Amino acid sequence: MEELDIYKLISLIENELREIPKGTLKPDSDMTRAIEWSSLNVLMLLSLIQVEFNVNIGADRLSKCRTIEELYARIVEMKTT
Amino acid sequence: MALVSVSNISLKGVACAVPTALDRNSDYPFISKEQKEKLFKVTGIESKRIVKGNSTTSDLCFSAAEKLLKKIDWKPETVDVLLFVAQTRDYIVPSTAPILQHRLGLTTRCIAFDIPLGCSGYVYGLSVAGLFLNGGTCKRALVLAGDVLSKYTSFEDRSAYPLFGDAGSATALEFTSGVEPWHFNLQTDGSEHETIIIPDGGMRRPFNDHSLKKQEDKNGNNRSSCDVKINGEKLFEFSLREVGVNILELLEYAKKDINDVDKFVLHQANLIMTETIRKTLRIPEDKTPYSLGKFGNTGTTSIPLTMITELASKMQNGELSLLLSGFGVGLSWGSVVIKTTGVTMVPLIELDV
Repeated sequence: MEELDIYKLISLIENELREIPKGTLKPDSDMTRAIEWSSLNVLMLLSLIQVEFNVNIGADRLSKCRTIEELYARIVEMKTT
Repeated sequence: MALVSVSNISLKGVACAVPTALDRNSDYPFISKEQKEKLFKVTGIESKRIVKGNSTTSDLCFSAAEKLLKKIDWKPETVDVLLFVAQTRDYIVPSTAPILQHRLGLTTRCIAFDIPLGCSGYVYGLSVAGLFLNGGTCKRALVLAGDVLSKYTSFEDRSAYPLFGDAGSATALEFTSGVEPWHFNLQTDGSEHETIIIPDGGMRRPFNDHSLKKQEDKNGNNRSSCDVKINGEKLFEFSLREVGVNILELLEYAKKDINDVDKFVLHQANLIMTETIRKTLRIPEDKTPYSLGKFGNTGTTSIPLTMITELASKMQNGELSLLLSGFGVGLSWGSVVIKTTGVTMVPLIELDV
């Protein structure tokens, strides 16, 4: 599993969701605007977070994260509790 | 804790039957070309087989069982137990197992009943058959597992239609003293039973004037209350939460680790779900065979179908340590570790139905 790092998370998301141009996501990017919130994309994000960080975040918790920073904080919280 | 060991059983043979009619997801009209590429990446499903006429799950299972009995040279009167594992039964009343008992020419001394489970059903079916056999008074059992879910899936539902394929199977188990026990870990959580549901047509919500009316959901999918409805995201969360833990508990109980298992035959739900479980458990890629690319998610048949299409020669010609794991509708999930030797594997049966 990957070490926690917000820039690593950004890079992984950009690699996974090819429609996002590389280098456009920032920690404060609004995910709800930057990412098409389709069920396929949600499954891809859930899988990425599980495989890379060993965190089963779930779709409900994922949808409550507005920015990448919020998502990162949620992953850190779940990883450490 | 439903950890169960069953002694004195062996896997004698497996057969699967699928319709010849091919349904390609690339031809599916309700998603764009770009979405199709992503759909394939996420589901891994290129095509599936669909029953075009009025044939039922029991018809597919019957063909598989008939061929299997002949191949392993079992006279019908020697079968003591028949289990029909499916959610798509011939009638609401009666059960389908007695119909199959009669069609296959089994005697009236045969135990026959239905187990209406889905994706976990194959593992549950093996456990029930094994428990009948391990005492030694019953010697031979058939587990007939299948589903024709295409009949209950709306063509206009992008969250369900591209996933499900139709298939039926037959598995023969035999009392065999002195072989390594089979170890099961079986679990249930009915609190999330609405995660996969056909709402109307049972006693809770009887079929009514509105049951067949298609309605659009918030994602633009059209389905009726007699069509299967799936909350894919909830199902994904459940599978990641429970399946890996179930498998690890089972391995610990069986005093084995991942290296001791030759192949992990996991339910073919969709590629991303099964792969996420595999990667989380760090199971090597070559230990996890897939049949879903050409057959889709065939529910309770997905484990035996994967054995037939991907493992036939290995299971037929040598000794294998297998871990089978089914998970989904119910919610219900279960895994079993078994050792197989010289299993009769009937080549895939294709039926023009």
